[in-house]
Order: sequence, then structure tokens, then C-alpha cells
Amino acid sequence: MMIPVRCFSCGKQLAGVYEEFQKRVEKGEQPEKVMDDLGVKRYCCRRMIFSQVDLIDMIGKFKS
Amino acid sequence: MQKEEKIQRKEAIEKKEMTVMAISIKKLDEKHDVARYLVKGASPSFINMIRRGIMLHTPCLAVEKVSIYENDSVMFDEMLAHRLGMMPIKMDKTYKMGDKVKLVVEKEGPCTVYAKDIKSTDPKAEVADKNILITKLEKDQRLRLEMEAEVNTGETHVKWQPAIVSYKEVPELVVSKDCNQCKDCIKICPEGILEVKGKTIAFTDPNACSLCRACVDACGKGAIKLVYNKNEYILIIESAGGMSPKEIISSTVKAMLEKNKEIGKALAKAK
Repeated sequence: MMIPVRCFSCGKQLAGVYEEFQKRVEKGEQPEKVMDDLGVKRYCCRRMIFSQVDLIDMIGKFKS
Repeated sequence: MQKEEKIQRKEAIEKKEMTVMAISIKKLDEKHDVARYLVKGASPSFINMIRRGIMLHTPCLAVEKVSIYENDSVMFDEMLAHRLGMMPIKMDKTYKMGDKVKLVVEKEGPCTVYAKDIKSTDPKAEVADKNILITKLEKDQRLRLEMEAEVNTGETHVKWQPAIVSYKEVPELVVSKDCNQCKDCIKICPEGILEVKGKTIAFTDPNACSLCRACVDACGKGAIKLVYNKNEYILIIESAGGMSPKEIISSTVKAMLEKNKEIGKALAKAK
């Protein structure tokens, strides 16, 4: 639905860097380099970010 | 009484019945709230005590109670409360175990609710990262809630864990005379920190080694050995954002001293 606030495995806070990650990737930067730059180093935190599917906008349309 | 104890201690040290470790700490670097310290003169159990002390016994702030008055967003109340609970909160040194702060959010859509929209009733406590996404509101949807953050320790719940802590030994590369400088180890090193130095291989920076032992496996002659120094550690403190790594260590030391006092008191009572 929305990016979890923390990484499931290690507990690192990720919801604060997610929007910047999205913006920079949209501009054409390489995702892995953006993650390195944002301090998301471990693969447990990386999978949280790149496996995220934002559904909240879609579900939002159907709430009465 | 205290004087006597001090004298006894001094005598014990002189007679070598008791050893005192001289510990030195040097900061290596700090980036993205991750600080690396080089700790010299510590034993494995000591450094692990610091690690566990930070994770379990260091007080910090986190949202404990959420009163939701209005939540029209598609996110369930429980999910929302959980997200708010996981959010790290900055606090002042004056805060002590059990202290409470009220935080308030009021928003009307269409908008994205960020952590910066949360207003604290006390200027000494505020949300650590302003960009944390909380929820999204569509047109005519409203969010109105009140939170109560509490100071507690990681022993109760992980949301009160002020940092992710890890440590590793400082490695030493021992290269025997069998080394023919084929450079296989240099090519395979994922950190790229090996180099040819004279007739052997050496680290450019031993503190950057991830202890993966790829160089040991890659050496066809079995000439490389990775030896760990049992008294030198790299302590990595990855702050959640509530306190700086330095504040976390000093607060942990205080908490651990308090624990030691408790043991002393209990021991005095025991017959």
C-alpha cells in the first residue's frame, strides 16, 4: 500500500528517503547508485525499496 | 568505606589480582547518522555489552498511544497507529524514563501526510525525519488524531531501540612466503582494499574490510590468512535519528552503570 516506515529485517527507517529515491530514479539516475547515496546499503533495506508497489492512490479512488 | 574500597582496589591492581582495561575510542567517520568508532583495548564480552546495552537499555522516545478522532483515509486505524509508532522521535537530554509528550496531527485532503505535519506540544521533542510518509488523503478526506509518545527502552519494544549496532574485529592480513603475487586476491576483493606492497599483499585500509574471506579462498597457494585482533573492534552505530551516536553511547554507559549498582545492592542483601 505505502512504503513501510522501517525495514522489516533490520529496522532502519526508510519511509523518509523513499520519495527522494522515486524522484531521482524518474529523472534517470541508476536506482542502485541512488540507494548507495541515500545510505541504504544492506540488501534487506534495498529490497524494501525496490520491491515496493504503491497502491494507495489506486485504492483511494474507491473509498466513498 | 568508599576510601577503603578504593585502596583495596588499588592494591589488587598492583598485585595483579585484578586487571583494568585501558579503553580508547577513535571516531573513524560519520555519514547518514552512521558512525564508526575504532575501539581499542576492549574484550569481546565488553564490546558486546555495549551493543546489547544500546539495543535494550538505552531510553528513547516513541509513540505509544494514538487516539484517532477522524480517519477518512484508506489506511486502517491500526495500520496508521503502527506507522506512527515506528517513527523515530528526537528528544532532549532532560527526558527521563517514563516521561510523556503529546503530538497532534490535523489535515484535510487532497494531500500527502508527512511527519512534518505532526505538531509536538513540547519544542524539546520532535519527529526526527520530516519526510517520513504517513498516509495519503483524497478530496474531502480528513485526518485528526492525537498521540502520546513515551520514553522507554528497547527491552519493551523495538520501536524504542535508538540505533542499530554492530561490531567487527579489526583484521590483519598474514601473507606467507608462498605468495607469487598473482593478484587473484586483489581482483576478487569486493571492497577493493588490497594492494601489492613490496613482495607481499597488504590492506590499504583494514577498517574497510568486511571480513568476507574471499581473498583467503581465492589464493591458489593458500598463502593468505586473515587473523583477527581480539582487542580491537570497529563499533558501528546506526542511529535511528532520535539521538546522535555520541549521545547514545553516553546514555548507554549511564544505563549500564545503573544496572551495575542494582547488582551491587542485590549482592549486599544476599547472605
